Amino acid sequence: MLNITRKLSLSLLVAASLLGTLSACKKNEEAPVAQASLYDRLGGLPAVTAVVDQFITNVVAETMTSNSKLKRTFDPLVQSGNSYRVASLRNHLIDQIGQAAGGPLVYKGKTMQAAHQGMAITDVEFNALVAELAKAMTSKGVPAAQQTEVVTILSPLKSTIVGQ
Amino acid sequence: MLKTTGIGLLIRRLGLGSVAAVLLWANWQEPNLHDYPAPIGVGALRVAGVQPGAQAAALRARLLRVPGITACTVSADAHAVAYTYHPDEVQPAQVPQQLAPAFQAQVYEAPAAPVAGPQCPVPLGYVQALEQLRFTLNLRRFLVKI
Repeated sequence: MLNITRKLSLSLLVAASLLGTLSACKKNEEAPVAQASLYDRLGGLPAVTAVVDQFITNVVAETMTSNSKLKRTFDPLVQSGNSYRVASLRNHLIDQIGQAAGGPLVYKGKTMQAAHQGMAITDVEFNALVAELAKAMTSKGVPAAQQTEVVTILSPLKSTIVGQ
Repeated sequence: MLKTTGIGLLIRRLGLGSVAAVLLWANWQEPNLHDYPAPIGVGALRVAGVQPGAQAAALRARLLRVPGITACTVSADAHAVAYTYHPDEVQPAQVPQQLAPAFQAQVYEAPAAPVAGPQCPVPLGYVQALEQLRFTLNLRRFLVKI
């Protein structure tokens, strides 16, 4: 009789432990999982670099068209002997998009206002640039939702770029 | 003997101090994200007779197969092509040869603009070489998960 009671107690104990473990697991499942940063979801540095490189080629090709909206601002990039300016632009874009998307390092360049001082960039030029960025992301297979996130985090910069 | 030892010691001390100073300079700040990927150049071409659609897509695919080319855009209406490349692997002058005979491409460079206003006296190439050296000596780059 005592043996049966012991076995029953042991079974109850095991069952209670199992239930406790299962409910703890359930709690863990329900707990909000920290979402990966946009930087990680984009694919990290290789993806950011690929998008920026594609963006640069898009912009340069656009400046070569007859009805270019970006020629005034970006033509110096394709002028002979200015390859280092392109590299500099690429560096700033990688740093800035990387930081804005939650990447591991920070942008250390000028503020957008200081960088665009005297350039008198118009709404049309800014929008054309954003369109080229969107094309670059599409070309590199960035999903639409993540494209929207990138544009959303960069759009507050518009007021510091346009009309300076 | 003493002189030799003294000079040797001085040189050694100066040398160690210099190395320490360079390492301090290189490691003072975290590296930049842009220091990690290989540097690129940008090239542009005018390609005669390229049509939008399949022909433009074929040209793009052909360019992307050239070793060292990392991205490209074909604007068929303007007969314009822009691409980024790794200078260690390919040079712009070689690209038209890689596209021939299927495509007749010519290297495009907009004429240089006249210099206006003050210019930085240090060539940008030197600045970039210095930045590259700083990144190479920056041991903090190993602590960053990119």
